[in-house]
Amino acid sequence: MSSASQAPHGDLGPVLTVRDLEVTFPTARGPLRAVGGISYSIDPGRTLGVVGESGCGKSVSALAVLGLVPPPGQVTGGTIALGTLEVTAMDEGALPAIRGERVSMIFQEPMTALNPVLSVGQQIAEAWALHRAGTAADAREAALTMLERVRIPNPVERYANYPHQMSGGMRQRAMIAMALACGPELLIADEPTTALDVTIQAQIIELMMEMQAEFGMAIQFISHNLGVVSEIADDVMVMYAGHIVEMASTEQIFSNPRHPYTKALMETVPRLGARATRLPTIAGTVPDLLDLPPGCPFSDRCPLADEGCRQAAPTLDDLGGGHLAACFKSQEDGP
Amino acid sequence: MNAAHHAMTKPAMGARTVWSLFFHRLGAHRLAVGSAVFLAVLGVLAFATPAIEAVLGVDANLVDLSRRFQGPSRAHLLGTDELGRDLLVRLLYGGQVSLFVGIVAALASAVTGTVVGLLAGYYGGRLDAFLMRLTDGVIALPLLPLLIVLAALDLTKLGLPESVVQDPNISLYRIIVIISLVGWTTVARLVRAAALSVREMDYVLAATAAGAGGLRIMAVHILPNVISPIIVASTLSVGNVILLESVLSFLGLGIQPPIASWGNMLTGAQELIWSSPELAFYPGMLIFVTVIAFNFLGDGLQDAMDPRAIEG
Repeated sequence: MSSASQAPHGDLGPVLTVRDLEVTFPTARGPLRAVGGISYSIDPGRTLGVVGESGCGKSVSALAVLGLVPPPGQVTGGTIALGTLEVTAMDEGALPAIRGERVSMIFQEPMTALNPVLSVGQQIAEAWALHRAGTAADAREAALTMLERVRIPNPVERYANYPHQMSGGMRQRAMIAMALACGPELLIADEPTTALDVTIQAQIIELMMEMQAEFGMAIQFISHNLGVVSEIADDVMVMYAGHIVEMASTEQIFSNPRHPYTKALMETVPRLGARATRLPTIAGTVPDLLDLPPGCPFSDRCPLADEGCRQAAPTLDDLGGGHLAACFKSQEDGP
Repeated sequence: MNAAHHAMTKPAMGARTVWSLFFHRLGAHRLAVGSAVFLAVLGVLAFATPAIEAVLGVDANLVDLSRRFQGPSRAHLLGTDELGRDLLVRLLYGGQVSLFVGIVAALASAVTGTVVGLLAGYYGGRLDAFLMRLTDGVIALPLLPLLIVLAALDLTKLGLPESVVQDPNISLYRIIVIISLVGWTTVARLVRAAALSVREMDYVLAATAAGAGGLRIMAVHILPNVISPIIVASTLSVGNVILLESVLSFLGLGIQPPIASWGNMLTGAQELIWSSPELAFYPGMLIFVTVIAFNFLGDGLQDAMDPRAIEG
């Protein structure tokens, strides 16, 4: 049981491999493709930042990794593999064995992601006991160790606290302790800092990086905050309307964004020292996923779009140096 | 102050604030407190009846035709009934039966209702549809005729061993089973409704993402969050069960004499209502007051356990 997580990840290839993943929700107006065939992978110990607006499919694709696409949605195509284990081929009943053990998740709002009627310690102990054999005392011991490792002062005292007795930052630390209790290979963080104020946000980011150094897990870090992503991620994947529009190393994407959507996103971030003017916005709204334009999904809002963009959808191609973008214009430009 | 000392005091304080808040709010509900005290006294007296019999030197089932219809006296504090039995201890025995049937049947109904409600609310879909139609079906059953039929069932035909059928308390068990079979629907609906909202909570998703299975989610994460409607509804249903038991016993289908119950005491008293009204008055009044006390207590618990107050 524990051998999988203790084995060195290095020689096993990527921790997570997603191929042509498609997630569809049946609606009254027809099937809605929330994720429209995306492929990516994360290597051991690396952090992939996933950026995009609300509704671009970033959370749904993350939930798909755990087999937790909210019904009535379902994975309608593609494969997801944790190491060599194909999650998408697994039986529903076998999934709990990998959740928390090989892949865990932390959520945006730690107040609602922790059960209000159970003490924080009990919840961490439960996460441990779900995958490890041991007595209640062992579980308690493991939970106390985890509380200490996520730098919560007075673990013994905090063990008995209920979520409402903790601050937001403390709760998110507890959430991280719960997620890492069994030492998973992959941690999926769905906007873990969005609900926190800026100083606490920085502390949580720092903690996550320290935990990564200690536990060696890979992280899929979902956010709409480019600043936060630039701090923590090794690679960045930008999603739009259920598709990946650009994917590259953090360095490449921030120094040289190639997709017009990525560029537009970066212009919407206020800069320190810049003259106070109205912040630029991206014209238009996210397209209706039930009624996508026939060509590039961004063509309606793209300043560079021409007839060709509106007729055929670009594929995600390497522009050189592992910098991928799905845009005819940037592909024409060359690297 | 050392760390160990901290560890000992702080959690206890946290736990105490939740409970002190609960008792504080319950205490503000005068009727509920009064009802709780009344029920506690009734309960203690009812279950101490054998001792009271010994102290007073009377026997609840001793027929003494020379002492029929006596008024209150030193020997019989409330007088005697039409067979010369002591009225007070018979009332207390009746209370024992009523409280026992009420509480056990309400608990059994609560357990069944909770299981049905959790399964329906958490899994949803077809299971939910099936269980809720079943619940609707049980609710739609004409209750009294059904209870009468069930109460008239010949238990030997059900294949129960002779020793069980001959048990003097069989009418007691039978009535508990009958009431539990039909009494779970309220709790089932309440729990389902609560579970439907709780299962959408992030902490249920978080627990699922940590690898918890369905049973564990229901028992550890959903149940504690829906416990207050269960407690309130069950308290209220104790009153209803006592009424139902009285009705069945009054009709001669519930608790069989010589075991005293408030319902069958009323049956015996109905022919004598003009000559000895007190024989009907005492059990009738006790049923009334006890049922009302359970209702007040239920209301008080509902106010005291309002989750918005506890979490805020």
